[in-house]
Amino acid sequence: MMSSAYPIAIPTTRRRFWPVDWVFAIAAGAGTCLALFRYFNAMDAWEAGILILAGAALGAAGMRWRPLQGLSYATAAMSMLALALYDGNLARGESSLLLKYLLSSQTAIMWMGLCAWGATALYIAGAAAGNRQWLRRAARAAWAACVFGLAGLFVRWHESYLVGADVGHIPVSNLYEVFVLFTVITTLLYLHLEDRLGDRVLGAFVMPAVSAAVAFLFWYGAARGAHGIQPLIPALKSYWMKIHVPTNFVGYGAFSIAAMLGIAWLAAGRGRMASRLPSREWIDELMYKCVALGFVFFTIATILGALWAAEAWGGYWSWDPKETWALIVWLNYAAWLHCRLVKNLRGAVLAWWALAGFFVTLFAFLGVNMFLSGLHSYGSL
Amino acid sequence: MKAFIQLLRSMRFAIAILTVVAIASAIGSVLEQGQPTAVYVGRYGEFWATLFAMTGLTDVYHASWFLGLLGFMAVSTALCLAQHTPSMLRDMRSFREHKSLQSLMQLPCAAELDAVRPDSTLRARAGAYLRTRNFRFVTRELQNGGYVLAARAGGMRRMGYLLVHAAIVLICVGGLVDGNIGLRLGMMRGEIVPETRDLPPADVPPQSRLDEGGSFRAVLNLNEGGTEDAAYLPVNDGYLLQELPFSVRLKRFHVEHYGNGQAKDFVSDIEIIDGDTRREARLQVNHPFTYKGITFYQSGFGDGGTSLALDLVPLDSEAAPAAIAGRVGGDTPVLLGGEAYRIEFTDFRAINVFSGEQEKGGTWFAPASQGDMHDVGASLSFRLRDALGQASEWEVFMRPIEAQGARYFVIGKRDAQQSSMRYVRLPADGDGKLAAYRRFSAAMKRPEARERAARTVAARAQNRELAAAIERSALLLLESFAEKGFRAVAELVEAGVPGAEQDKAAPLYVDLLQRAAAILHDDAAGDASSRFVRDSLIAYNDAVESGIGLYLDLTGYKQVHSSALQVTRAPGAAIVYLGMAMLALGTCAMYFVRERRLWIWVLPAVGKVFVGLTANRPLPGLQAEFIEHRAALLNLIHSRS
Repeated sequence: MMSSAYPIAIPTTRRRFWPVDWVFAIAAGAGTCLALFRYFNAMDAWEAGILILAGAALGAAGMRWRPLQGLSYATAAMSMLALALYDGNLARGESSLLLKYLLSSQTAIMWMGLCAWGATALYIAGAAAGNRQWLRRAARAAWAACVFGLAGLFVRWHESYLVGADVGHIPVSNLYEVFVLFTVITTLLYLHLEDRLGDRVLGAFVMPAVSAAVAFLFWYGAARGAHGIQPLIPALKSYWMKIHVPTNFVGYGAFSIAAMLGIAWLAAGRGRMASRLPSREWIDELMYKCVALGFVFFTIATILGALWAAEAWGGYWSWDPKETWALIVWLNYAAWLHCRLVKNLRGAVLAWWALAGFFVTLFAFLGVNMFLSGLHSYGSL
Repeated sequence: MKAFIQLLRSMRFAIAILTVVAIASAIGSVLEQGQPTAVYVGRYGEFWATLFAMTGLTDVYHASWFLGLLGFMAVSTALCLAQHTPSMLRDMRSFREHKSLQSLMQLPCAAELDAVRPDSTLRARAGAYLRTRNFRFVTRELQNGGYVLAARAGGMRRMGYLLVHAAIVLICVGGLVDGNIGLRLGMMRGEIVPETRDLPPADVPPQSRLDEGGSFRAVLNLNEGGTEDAAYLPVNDGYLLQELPFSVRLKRFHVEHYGNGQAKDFVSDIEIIDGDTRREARLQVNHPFTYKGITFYQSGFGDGGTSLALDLVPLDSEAAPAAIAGRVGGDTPVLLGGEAYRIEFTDFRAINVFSGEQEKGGTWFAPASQGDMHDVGASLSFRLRDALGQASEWEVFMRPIEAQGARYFVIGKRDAQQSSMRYVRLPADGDGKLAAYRRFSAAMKRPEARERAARTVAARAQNRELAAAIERSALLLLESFAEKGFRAVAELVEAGVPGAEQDKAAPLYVDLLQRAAAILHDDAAGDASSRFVRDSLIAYNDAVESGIGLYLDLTGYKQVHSSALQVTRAPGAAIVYLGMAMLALGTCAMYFVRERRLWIWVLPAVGKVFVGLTANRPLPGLQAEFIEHRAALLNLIHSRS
């Protein structure tokens, strides 16, 4: 019974909202209205609808998970400061010191990466030494990474409009930008899990995956010059991109965490880690939660993708390599869930399978872009 | 039969099907699909190509066995659904209020609470508590004033199960409807035969025409001003003609551009002509248009017969350029070096956007910029066919292109046996014209010009004794270079210098060649900067090697676009979309809804309360949750109102 002491996802009493929660809800609403009025001309009706729903979702989520409030305030403050400093002139990015060394999207993304690396190091050191203080600092660094990453994306969004009024677009349009998104979403998902679990040791397993993503991001930016803001190709100019891509990355992020928890499950059985980690029973449960959450979002993302494809390519399914691999990922996790829920499979098989599933997902995410051509490579038209 | 159905609806079978579909899909994504047979033979050899064709791996997603697998998946899911639906619905409605006390106490989460004299208000307060925790419940009266509160929460989770599995069946059915089984069957029976000849629509025979019934995804190519009433459906090595119930006219096509010339949007203004009805519509990428269940998409574009006025510029002489006219898609006879050729114009692009050279100075920390894409101007593709019918492919850019600080006219050529286009960069002179290079090239071809250049080089030599030898060498170099390019210089070095000295001698030869070439330039009153001389030598060499003796200069054009529209009809789409909505709702319900059952047995006669909690699956956190409930109930029991 003691191994079950983790209070995961149990609303202990009926949820009580504090005044700060209502303040946050009002702030989210006000921010949405501000964005709506200020950028009304840049949006079509769908996009306005997406903005309103996103604002409502943020308000509701922040009321239920309080740390999100601080994240939102910090991100909003940084982004708005950057916008004010730019003052409609991209060249300020070089002349204003604050922009150059802290707030311009490129710099903020660099800080995000450094914070994520720092968090990873602290998590690993804290878990190895059993030092709670370090683990607490690791979590703070991970939060800082999220703030920098999100602010970087928002500022980049603004910068894209400064590059050219018709160039502006949400920064989820290429591999460089979605890696930033992946870093932020995966870290946030993990922090939520950590908060609900009340134990930070698993960060030593999850955050290395985020750090690897950051390493790729830096390499990709530095070696390939991938960080430049490019105008959108016609096929990507659609409001669908705003919902399809982020939804997909919640899925990718959750699947990645599940894979890392698979490793944690395997490690929990042996050596020194056994005493430091939550019980295997709990890791197994968390792994299931992550796969299931990923599955929900991946399903919705694939559906959104199919709807977009129906509008852009003339068919909801074309067996394009990206679509095909999305199906393979989906089938893989569907089988995983069936084995666990129906066949009551547990333990090492599922842990290894979650890890293998990660490589399938990785291929769908990266490999398809690298090795297979198709509609998603945007080579045609 | 019963055993077969048993197998179909078994979980093991379902997972096996999932796995096979996944593997087949993976193969289809790696092996290029739907290519002509020759491609596979060329790439994998006869044996594998035959094997691929036999197993349908060259078109996996439309192979009958693959569709069969999808069918099995639908049937298996449907059977599983049929089997489980009644019990699921029963479970959703039932409160299991008749669960015995004994089986209750055998639950992992169950407890016996002491309640010496349960308050008469306990029932109401326990009920209120259950309601605040989102439970619904029924009460069963027991003897001696006892009662059971049987509660459940999250019954919608089971609805999620039903929705998800029904959705899979619907999506498979809708997909199979749009997978066009009728067409496949017709082709198998030989009633529908793909046409392989290039025929005008009116001449396509009836067995290659499809009427308006089924689902299709066809291509409609329209020239500006043109009208069509049938679209092409590519099938294997041929095509079928899909008839449309109306005609479509392309009024205008245009490409919108960003500031840097990159394409921003492709726009077709079309007109539907349906009897007396005329409907105008604008198609853009991501903005399709639907008329009478048939949807049009902007999917590509090309040249629809641009008319061109060109100057044919010979590179080997200073003869005046010959003016020619032509049309993309047509051909024009020309005389080259006294021989008859035809130029077949294949494509014209008014705008070509390329990414320029990587800027060395930029750092990763520099603020984001709009890339380095820029427009290099118009290009023309054509085939040059000789009297024997042999053709080479050419591409020429109409404006000098900047590279490393200088400007060049670019022309490329590919012979039938070559795999890639070979480009030559002809340096532009100070006026941005080709004139200086043409003078140089013509001088290089003239023996007396070469002799004069060799003499001048020798005359400038400081060592008079060597002058004669220098003149001889320079002349030999120029003559050989004029004929064969740099290859000739290499041959001269090899023939005239002992092996050990070759590495030292080669630069001297090249230097001599450059000095002579500079004089050739001076002589022809050209620009004598050494960069220009070097570029000219390289251009001359490349032109000799690839056999490029002409350049085409565009003097005027009137562009006519063609637009490729995708025309589709998907009667299964509505079913699929319904399935998708159910799938999204269902997965959400299955993940976010937590299913719990809670029983509270109250036995006032013996002064006991029993409580038990279950979830739909074993949960490590259930104990903690149970402790909460137990504490809350204890609180209720002991705090009397």
